[in-house]
Amino acid sequence: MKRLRRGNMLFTGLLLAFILVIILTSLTYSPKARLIPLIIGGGTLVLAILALLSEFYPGLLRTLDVSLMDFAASGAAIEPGSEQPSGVKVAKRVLNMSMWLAIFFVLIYLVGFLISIGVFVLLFLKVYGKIGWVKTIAVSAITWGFIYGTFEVFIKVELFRGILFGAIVPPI
Amino acid sequence: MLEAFLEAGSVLANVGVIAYVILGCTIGLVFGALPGLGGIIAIAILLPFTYGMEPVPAMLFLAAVMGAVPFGGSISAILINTPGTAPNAATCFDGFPMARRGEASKALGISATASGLGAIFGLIVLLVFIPLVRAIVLLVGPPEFFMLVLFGLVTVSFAARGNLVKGLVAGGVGILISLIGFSGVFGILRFTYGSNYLWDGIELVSFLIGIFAISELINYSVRGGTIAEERASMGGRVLDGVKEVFRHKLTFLRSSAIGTTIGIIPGVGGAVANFLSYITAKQMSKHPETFGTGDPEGVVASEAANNAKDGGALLPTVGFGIPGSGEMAVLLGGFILHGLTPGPMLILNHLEIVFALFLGILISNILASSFGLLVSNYLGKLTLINVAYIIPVVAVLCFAGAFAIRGNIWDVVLALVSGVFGYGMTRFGFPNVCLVIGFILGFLAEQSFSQSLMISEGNYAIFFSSPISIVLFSLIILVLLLPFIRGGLARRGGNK
Repeated sequence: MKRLRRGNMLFTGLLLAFILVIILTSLTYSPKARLIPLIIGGGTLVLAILALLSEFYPGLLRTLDVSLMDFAASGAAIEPGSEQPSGVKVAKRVLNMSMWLAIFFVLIYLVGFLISIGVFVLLFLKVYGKIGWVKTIAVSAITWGFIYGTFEVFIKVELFRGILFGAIVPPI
Repeated sequence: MLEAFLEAGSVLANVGVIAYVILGCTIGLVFGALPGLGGIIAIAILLPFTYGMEPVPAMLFLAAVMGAVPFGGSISAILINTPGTAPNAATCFDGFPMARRGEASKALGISATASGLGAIFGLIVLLVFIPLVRAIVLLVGPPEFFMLVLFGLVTVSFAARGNLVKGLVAGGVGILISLIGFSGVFGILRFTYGSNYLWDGIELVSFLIGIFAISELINYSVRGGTIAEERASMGGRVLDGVKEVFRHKLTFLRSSAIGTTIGIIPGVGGAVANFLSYITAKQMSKHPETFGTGDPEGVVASEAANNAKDGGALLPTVGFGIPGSGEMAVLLGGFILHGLTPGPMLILNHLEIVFALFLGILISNILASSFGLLVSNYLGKLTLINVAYIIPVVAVLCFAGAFAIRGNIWDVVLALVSGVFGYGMTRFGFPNVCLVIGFILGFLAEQSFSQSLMISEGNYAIFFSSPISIVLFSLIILVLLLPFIRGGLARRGGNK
C-alpha cells in the first residue's frame, strides 16, 4: 500500500513536471498561440497539485471519489482483471515486460519486422512463457504468416526492413 | 437521408465488404470474450488495418467489431464469471449462477437475444433522432462547440471510475499532448523542442495503440497465468433463453431505454448503463431476492442495456464529435484517419458514414447473436489460454500496425512509450479514456476557442451569449458540483 502511494506520488509528480514544462514553454509563444496551453495547463496544474496533495492528506479529495458507477450500483463494479499483485513484484513485472517490448523494437530497428517477428515470438514463448517447442514454433510461424500476408501481400505495406538491410530511418 | 442510407447500404452488395463485416464480427467476439481486451483495444489495434480502405467499408468493419464485443463479453461473464468487458459486469451476477446450475446455454440464449434486440432498439432511437440532431447541429457555432467539448470532458471525467480530479487531470494532459506540433490555427510549431518527428504532432493511431493495447499487455504480464482457472459446462436450451426475453418484455424495453439514454451522455458508456439497468430491474421486480442467484431477468436487464447503448452513443459522436463512450472515442480516431473531421459537420456532410456505422452495428449484432451462440463454447475456451501466448501475438500486431500508418519507425517507439505511460495512468488512477478524449478533442477545442474570439474580436462574453452555451455551461457546473451535492445528501442522511 505504502509502495503504491509512493508510486502514485512519483507518477503524479511526473505529470506535474510535464504540465510545468508545457506552461513554461508556452510563455515563449505569441499571446494568441499560448492562450489555450496556458488556460488548460494552468487549470490542469492546479488539479494535479490537488491530486498530489491528496496523497499526503487522503481526506482532501475523498468527496470527489465518485463516478456515475457509484450512483448506479454503489460502486460494486467488477473491473475485468483489476486484481493485481502489489509492490516490488509489480514493478519488476512492468520492467520485465517493458524490456521485452524494447528488445523487440531494437530487433525491428536492426533487422526489420520480418526477421524480428519470428525471433521475438519464438524467444518470448520459449523464455518468458516456457512453452514447448512444437507450440512455440507453430505460434511463431502462424503469427509471422499472418503479419506477412496481411501487410505485405494484402494491404501492400512494406514493413520496415531494418538498418542492417539498408532501411532509411527518418530524422527524429 | 435516404440517399445516404442507400450509399452506405449499396457498399454491402460487395462480397469483399460483407467478408469484412463477418471478419469484424468474429474479431469483436474474440476480443469481447477475452477479459481485459474489449472493444476499445480491438478498434485501436485494427485502425491501421483499415488504412487503405474506403471510409464507408472501413466504418462498416469497425462498427462490426464494436457491435460484436458486448455479446463476446457476456460469454466469459456467463461461463467463467469474469466479464469480458466492464459493461458485462452485471451479467455475471445472474448469468454465472445460471451456468453453475447447468443452464449456461439458456443464459447465453438470453444474452444473445437481449443483446441483438437491445442493439436494434438503440439503433431505432438513433434513426429517429438523426433529423433532430441535424437541426440542432445547425445551431452550434464555435462558442457552443467549445462548451460542448468542455461538457464532454467533464462528464467523461465524472463517468470514469475513480477520482473526478484525476479524471480532469487526465483530460487536461490529453489536451496538452494534442497541442504538440505544427499549429494550423497560428502557423507556428509548438512544443517540438527541435524534433522533426514532432512536427506533425503525436500520431493518433500509434498513441491509441500504446495507451490501450500495449498498456493492457503490460497489465496481462503483471497478472500472469491464464485468464480463467475453470469454466462452467454448457447446459440448458438456447431456445428457452430466447423465450425468457419475451417473457420479460417490460424489463427488456425499460433496460433498452436506459441503455440508449445513458449511451447518449458523452463518455459514460456501457458499464454505467449495465449497472443502472440491473439495479432498476431488481428494484422494480416482484421478486428482487432472486436477483444474484441466477434470475434470467437479471441477464435480460444487463445485456439489453449494454447493447442498446451503442445506438445512443453514436448520437453525440456523429452529431457533435463528442464521443458517447470509450469505443466511440477511438472510433473518432478512425474518422480522422480516413480524413473525416469529427464535429458538427460530419452528420451534415457525411451522413453515409453515420449509416455505415448503423448498418455495421446492426448486422454485427445479428451475426454475433446467432453465429456467436454456435461458437460460444469455443470462445469460452479462449479464456483458458495462457497469457504468454496472447502477449507476443498482440505485441506484434500493435508494432506492425503502428508502423504501417505512416511507414515511420519512430511511431513504434511512440506506441511503446505511450503503452508504459498508459499503464502508469491506469495503475495510479488516472483514467485513460479521459486522456484520449482530451487528446482527440484538444485540437477541436482550441480551434473553436480561437474562432469564437475572432468572431467576437476578443470578447470572452461570446461563450455565454447563446442559450445553448449557457445551458451547457450550467450543466458543466452542475456535473462538477455533483460530488459535493451527493456528499451533502449522504451527510444529511447520516445525521437523520
